[in-house]
Amino acid sequence: MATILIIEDEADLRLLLRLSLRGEDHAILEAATGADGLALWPLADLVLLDIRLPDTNGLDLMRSLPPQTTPVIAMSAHAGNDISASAIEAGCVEYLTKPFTQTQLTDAINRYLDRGA
Amino acid sequence: MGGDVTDDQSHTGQGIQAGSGDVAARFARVESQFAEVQRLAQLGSWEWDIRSNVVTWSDELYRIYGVEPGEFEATYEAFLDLVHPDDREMVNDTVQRAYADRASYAFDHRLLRPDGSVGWLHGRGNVQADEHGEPERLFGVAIDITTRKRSEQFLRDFIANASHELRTPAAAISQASHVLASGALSADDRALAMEALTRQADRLRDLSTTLLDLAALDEGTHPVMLGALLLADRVRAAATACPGIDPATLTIDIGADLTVLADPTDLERVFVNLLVNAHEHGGPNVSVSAHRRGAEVVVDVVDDGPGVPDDYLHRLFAPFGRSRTGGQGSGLGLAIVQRLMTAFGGNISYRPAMPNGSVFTLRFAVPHGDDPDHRG
Repeated sequence: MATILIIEDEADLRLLLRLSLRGEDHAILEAATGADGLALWPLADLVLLDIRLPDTNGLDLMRSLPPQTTPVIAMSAHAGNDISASAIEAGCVEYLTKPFTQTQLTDAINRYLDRGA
Repeated sequence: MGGDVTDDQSHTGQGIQAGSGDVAARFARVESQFAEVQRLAQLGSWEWDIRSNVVTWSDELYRIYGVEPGEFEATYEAFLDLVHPDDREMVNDTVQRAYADRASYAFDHRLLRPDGSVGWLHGRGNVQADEHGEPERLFGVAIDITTRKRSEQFLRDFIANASHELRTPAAAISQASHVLASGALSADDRALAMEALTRQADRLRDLSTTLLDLAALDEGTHPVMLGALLLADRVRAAATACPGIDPATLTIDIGADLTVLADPTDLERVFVNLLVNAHEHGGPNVSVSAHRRGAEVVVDVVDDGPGVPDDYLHRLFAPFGRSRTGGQGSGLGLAIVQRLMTAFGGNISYRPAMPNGSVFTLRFAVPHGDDPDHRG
């Protein structure tokens, strides 16, 4: 069982991601802001990071951190190659465009949890 | 006979003089029309006589490039200097290729004027060769397409923002459908997921309706039924329709008999949007006050929040102008308010409140007569 931190300001999406990932036997931590997310970060095996947060931009937050061993999957409703490339440049392992399918989400998570395990 | 000759010569001479005067006048007229056509079409032209290495620009071309004829030497290098640095290589390559191939060219490029402003041009040109195939003359036109490019950019941004706003509830709905289909939820979690699904479906519906309303308002096809309405009633109805707002934080100071010219449903919508905006971005305390000033009713919606950041002022009433600053709104609320106020024959403006906060001032037309319509 891995611990996944969801940093997402949309309360409904956070709830639904929690219910969905709990069904995959993961422990879930939740934060609605970048600041709250940073406080929980050390406890996580993997981070799902929304890019547009009320207190910061998820990618700016990534750039402010030292190089990460915890895999970070960025998510946002912005589509396009630019944002995907920026996410990888900022240190995220993957970028998911909302809306994503459950398979896209679980595949991405499993890829990086397997690697870490 | 001699007299005849003299008469004839005199006649002929006068004829020639009159004729050359005609040609000169006609030429001057054509030249002035040509300049006028260029000015109206925002189209400039240039010519490079290669043998004499003389470059000639039309007056309109100088205007488009933001340079003065006396202060600017029209050479190819000077022209390239005015091309935006990011487009310079493309422009030079295209012209050089056309020159080598004795061909014509067409491109869009940006220019960076001496005053620092950026414009967009559509340029077309043609290389003319002599009988030996050697280039002897280049002729080209440049059309100022800045307005068109700005509209295209606005549309691209609008679509990107609208897509972003639609994708967010779509993501929640997609997750909800998966979670609810999995069947592994407790009754409580199932109820929570259903509630979230309903909320996000409503949000998606509201957003798509608002986008269509915005388009209809911009096209002038949104139906408004203007009538005399009691302002205080509508503001109170709007406050009741905003469930997240604590009544203790809202002060309404409007004379009971004050009427404005507006559409009943849309007037309520104006105040719902402003109260939600004040609640999300301003607050915590909001006041709505109104008074009659001449042929207008002036309404101030004031909050004691942080005010609008300077960076956002220029797009405060633009669609999605503030959506990136957080909050759960669609980013269309103030855009809708501004367009509705215009449809009522009024307007809205913003100024910072002192020492902090926001003041949105609405100006309504006063209905003819003093007979308030109690419809709706």
